[in-house]
Amino acid sequence: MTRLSISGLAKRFDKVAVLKGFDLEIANGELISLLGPSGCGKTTTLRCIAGFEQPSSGRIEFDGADVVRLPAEKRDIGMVFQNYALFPHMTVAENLAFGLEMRKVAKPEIERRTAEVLKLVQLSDLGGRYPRQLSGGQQQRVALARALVIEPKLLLLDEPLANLDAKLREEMRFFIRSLQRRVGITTVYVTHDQAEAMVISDRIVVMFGGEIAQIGSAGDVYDRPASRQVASFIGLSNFIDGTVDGMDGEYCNVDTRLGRMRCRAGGAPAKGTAASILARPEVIVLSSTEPQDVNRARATVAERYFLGNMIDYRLDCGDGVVMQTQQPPHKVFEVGASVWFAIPAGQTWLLAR
Amino acid sequence: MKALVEVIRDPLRFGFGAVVIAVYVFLLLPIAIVVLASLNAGEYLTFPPQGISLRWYGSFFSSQPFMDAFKLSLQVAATSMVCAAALGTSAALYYVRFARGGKEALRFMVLAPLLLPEILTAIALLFFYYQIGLGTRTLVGLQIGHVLITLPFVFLSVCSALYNINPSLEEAARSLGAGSWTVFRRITLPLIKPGVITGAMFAFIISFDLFSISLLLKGIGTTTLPIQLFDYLRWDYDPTAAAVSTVSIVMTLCVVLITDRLVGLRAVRF
Repeated sequence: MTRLSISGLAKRFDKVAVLKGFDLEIANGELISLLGPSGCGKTTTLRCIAGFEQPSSGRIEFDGADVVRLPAEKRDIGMVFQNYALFPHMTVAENLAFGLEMRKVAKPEIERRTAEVLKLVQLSDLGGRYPRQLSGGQQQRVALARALVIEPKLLLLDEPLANLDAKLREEMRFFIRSLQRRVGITTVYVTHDQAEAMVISDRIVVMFGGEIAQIGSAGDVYDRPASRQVASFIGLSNFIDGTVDGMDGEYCNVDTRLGRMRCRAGGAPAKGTAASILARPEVIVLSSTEPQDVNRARATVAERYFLGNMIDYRLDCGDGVVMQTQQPPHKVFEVGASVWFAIPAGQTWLLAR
Repeated sequence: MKALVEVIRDPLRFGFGAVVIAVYVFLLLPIAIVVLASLNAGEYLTFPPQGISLRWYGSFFSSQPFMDAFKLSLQVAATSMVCAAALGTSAALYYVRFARGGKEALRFMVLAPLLLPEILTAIALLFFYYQIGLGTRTLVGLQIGHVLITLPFVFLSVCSALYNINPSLEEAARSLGAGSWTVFRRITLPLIKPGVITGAMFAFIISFDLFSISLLLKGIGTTTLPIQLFDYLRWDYDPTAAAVSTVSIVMTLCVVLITDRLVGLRAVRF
């Protein structure tokens, strides 16, 4: 049970600033994911917390005690690596026992705890196998078990599902999440997969270029992204550029090439500010007759792709504006058809441009 | 028959096969002749042997100078093997895991004895020993020379073993609470063991056979087997020499077989 607090964390490799000094508080038992494209500094942050990298400046505190000077082996963390890093010359049981032996736990106690954790990850029968005799998913669970059996202060996961196939990856997300809830351990999870981050985390930390772009729940970062960059990294987006014409309650009127639109806004931008309206493809409603919505426009269906549970359309709105929308498959519009589309104002979000 | 016809029809392939066979025969025939000559019952080192006998083996094992040289060679080779294994493994660890600046210079320095003619290394060492007053009265100089020559073999095979292990294994062990010595003992060493053993076996064989270094750096009254053999052949030309050579060949073969049994020669990658 540990509260993790990071302040002013910066890391330079030679002259390149990989982390630009940020603060982050992680509550007891919380699961935070660090989400961002490769090179955004999320892995470096994790390695600084683990003690494999020495930060250039800043503090990393476990329950208020600074650990920056502490070597990795004294930090009492459980870490799961992307390639699992199971010891190939040891059996599953020996892999699990390693951390306990380092802690001078007595033999019978080691056996008891190893068996308990193997049961937790549903691998009770495989204690005698070598890692190479296990499937990818099983190796992944052994790696989790090895990190958890030492009952560490923190659990760190570095892209733990990146090497699994899509189906297994989806299962493991829920498995890790429910396991973490049951154990109640403070966890930092690094991923570049936004769907993974949304399913698994209490809060998502979106990182770009060594800085935090936004911290928030899955709903926050998806529906109320802090910037255009965050919006385009997480999920699919349409941006409609325009100029703010003034506020109307909590809505904002924006003049765009598709006409005047009403849009939800976080603040109260001044009249004349250049802005973009974010409209997620699934909130747009297509119809053949004119809808009642304030935000409506005409378009021609330019392309159509069948996705199974959805149909993906590219709409040519004239004036070089192309919109992407995903519609339920029961209503089909032909390519070349002239359609109306509506963007419900309550599901839009205004972003600075 | 059909296969043979096809081979002959393809002159290029046939020619290549013939050359390969010729090379092997050329390389291996002397060894076979030495072994056969050692079984000669006659008085002189001749081929074909005049009758079969083990009398020259008896002569080798009962000759004090040969037995002394044999024991010394074994002792020197064993010491070289242990020292080269320890130093070569440490050097490889430093080179692969920790060296930042001057990495290539370090590699070149360790490998230099392999690249220079052995006799040059021997002469350089001889001058150096007399300069610093070490001289050649003791075996220390000779032993250092042998370690110098055998070190690159351990270094190369341990480097390749280290490149083949995943560095996050060591990080995983540290995150589980292992200090650097424990990480080395429990994780790194078991994983590079095939490389260390292969390198050590090479060191033993090479040191056992080393000639120029031993010739120049040996003290008075001490001599290794290859030198003793050389001295012997200057005055005597009986099959004892062949018996000695055969014993050397058998020993080398044994080392190769042991290595293969222990770690498999697939582990040898340069």
